[in-house]
Amino acid sequence: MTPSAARAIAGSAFAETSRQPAFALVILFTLLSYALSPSIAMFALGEDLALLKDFGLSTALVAGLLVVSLGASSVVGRDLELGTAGVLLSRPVSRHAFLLGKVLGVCAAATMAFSIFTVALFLAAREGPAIESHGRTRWPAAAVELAAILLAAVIAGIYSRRSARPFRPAVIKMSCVTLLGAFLAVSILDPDPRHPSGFDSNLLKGALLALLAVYVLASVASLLAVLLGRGAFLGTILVFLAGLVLGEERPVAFGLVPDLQLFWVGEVFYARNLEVPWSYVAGAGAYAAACSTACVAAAAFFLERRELP
Amino acid sequence: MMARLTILFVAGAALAGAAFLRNDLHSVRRDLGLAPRWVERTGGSAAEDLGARWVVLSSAALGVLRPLAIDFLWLRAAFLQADGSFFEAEALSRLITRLEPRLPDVWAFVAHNLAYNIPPSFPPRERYTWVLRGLRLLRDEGLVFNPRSAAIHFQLAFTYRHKIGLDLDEAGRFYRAELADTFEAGNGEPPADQALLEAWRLEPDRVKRLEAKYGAVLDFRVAESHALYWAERGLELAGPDVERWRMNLLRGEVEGACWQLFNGGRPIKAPGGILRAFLPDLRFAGAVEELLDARAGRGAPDSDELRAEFWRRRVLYVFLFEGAEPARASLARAEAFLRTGGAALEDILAASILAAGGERPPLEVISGLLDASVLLEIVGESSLSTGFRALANLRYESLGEEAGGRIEGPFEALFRAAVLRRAAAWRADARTRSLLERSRLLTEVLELAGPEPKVSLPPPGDLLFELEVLDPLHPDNAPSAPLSPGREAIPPR
Repeated sequence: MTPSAARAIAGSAFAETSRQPAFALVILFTLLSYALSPSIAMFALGEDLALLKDFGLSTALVAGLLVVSLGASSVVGRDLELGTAGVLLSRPVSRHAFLLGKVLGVCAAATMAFSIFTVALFLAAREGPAIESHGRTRWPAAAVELAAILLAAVIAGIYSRRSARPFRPAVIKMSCVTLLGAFLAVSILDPDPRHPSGFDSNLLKGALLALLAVYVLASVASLLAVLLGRGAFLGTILVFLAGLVLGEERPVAFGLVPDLQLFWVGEVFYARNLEVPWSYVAGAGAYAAACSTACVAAAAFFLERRELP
Repeated sequence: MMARLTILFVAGAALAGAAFLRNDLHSVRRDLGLAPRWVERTGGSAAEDLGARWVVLSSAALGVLRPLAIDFLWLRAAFLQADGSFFEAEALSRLITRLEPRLPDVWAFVAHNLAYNIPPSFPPRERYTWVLRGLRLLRDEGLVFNPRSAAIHFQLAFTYRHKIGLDLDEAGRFYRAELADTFEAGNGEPPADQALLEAWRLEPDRVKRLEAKYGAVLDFRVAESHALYWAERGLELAGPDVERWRMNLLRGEVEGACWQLFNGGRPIKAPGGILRAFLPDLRFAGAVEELLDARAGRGAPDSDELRAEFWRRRVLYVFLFEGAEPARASLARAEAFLRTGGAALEDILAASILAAGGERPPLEVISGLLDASVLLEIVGESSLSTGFRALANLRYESLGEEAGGRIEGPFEALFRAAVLRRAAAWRADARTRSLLERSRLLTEVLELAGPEPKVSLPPPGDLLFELEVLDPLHPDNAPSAPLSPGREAIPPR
């Protein structure tokens, strides 16, 4: 397995995933929900901000699931079903490099999407739900996000016109930069009094943990894509639901399903003076790495045995 | 072949590593309080576990649909309730708590709505089931997800003490009767039934600790005993990060429950009826005294007035239950708070009776006290009946000093008139006639030779401690439609 081949395949898988219309749609819908979230987090009887952060993370997790399950079933499952993988593997590229590159490419696309989600969620949490109906909103998330995306679209338009590259992936990539820039600018111009450090560290850790869950799901999706082809999309969603529901107490028959509850820290927003330790995030990272390794290894095992058209 | 074996080895090693890490991470989650709440439970049915798992799923997997669903359900439930569709509104409210399980104030709000806002739409005898629904929601579900919540413990204690224990709802006497029925053995005594305590989530060890603390066996026929239990439990379990005002609310519930137990912690059931009168329970006098002293120590603004009121009542209750001499001893202790300047017991009691009687004419007050005495006699509380007669006599003796307060005839004639008034109705009913015949005093009074007394007693009006409910012929005592817990009523449209 040559690293350069895996890197090239990863780049191609990343480009292919981020070019998909579904990828852009998922990002757009998630951004829209974050922009509106300060207005819809009602009826929490004083815990509206906690509810906003809770369902914001959940939205990011579900959006990440959609990105990786659609991405893997497309870049792995479709390649294997349509035989394009066979063309690639007829060159001096090992099956392991092929698989690893595809998984890394999907994970990279998910990371890009997640960085957009996280910044947008921070902007929404910064605005927070309205305490009073007549209260003035400072730096509304919807306006800031819209301005950042418009700026990204202008820059991406100029770039794609000059370089003859596709417009949509360029906007998404540029949005990562402009949204982060907008968040930093707003934080500097108008520091958030609730968080002197500039952001809620639990929210950042929660987003990191959700991203780790998405990596695990990407490897699960790749394994299922090898086994089921494009049916991996549905299979990954079922594994996601099972991983959340089964939790710690689970029947032995479901022992191999990744425990996704470990990546979910929605409870922390409702508790006072509770901080998720970085050591926990690191431990969850190790668990995600172990689960992903097991899934990719299993996928490689089944790919070795598979007859390619 | 070797490559495949290597891959399998890597997969196996990764899985083993994942399993090892998983246990560690779950342990950290439990320590941090991030684990789903059902892990903390002992026991629980499969359905409850499934419900708890659904909560995790709805929290992590619904994304932005969750707040939208929450908004819709709140609005829809309010609309259905306003429209009189109470059962549908309740179902939606329960769904709301499932979508916001970690918000104790949501549980408290929904339970308060069930126990307070829906019952008035039903006839008084059909309301208790809604109060129970509110209590069960908090106790059996809310506390599962928020076991240390001060807000849920407060709402539980408040509902018992305020909704059931007091008369802010016209059906209050039925609530108290239903609760007492649940916790009463056939012989009219509280049962030592551990299964019943567990069904109501009353931990026997904690009950014993509380009984040791307050120096009295908690009688769970009385709503305030439940209130005291839940408020104390909340104070014990609430973490250090709970807001001070929430802890103060719980302390207020403890004080309120003790005060109400002191004033009405001893239930007496109407013979052959369903209602109960709740008489003062002097076992809680010491606890109330300590709480009021502590309150004064904290510099609470109304402490002096409360302590004076407590001692005024204590002297009266001791007189009624134990007689004049113990009451004089209590009065000697009360002097520091009542500042009577050495007034006699009779004066203090007369003042208490006057305060209890309000603007009523003296004869009506006496009539009420004698009527209470007759009712207590027929339920077998002869000692207390004597106390009421002595109190009536005290008032009678003091009348000579009041302008225009003179009453014709001796005191005994007044009592005989009170007995005759009740006996006229009781003799006509076979059930009450036998009760009447069982009371030696009443039989003797009725068999007294001579004409009926010339005095005509005015109607007694409202009796102290709501003793009128002890009359077996009281209209609310008709056992025609007793409510069984869990029975559903058809809501009016």
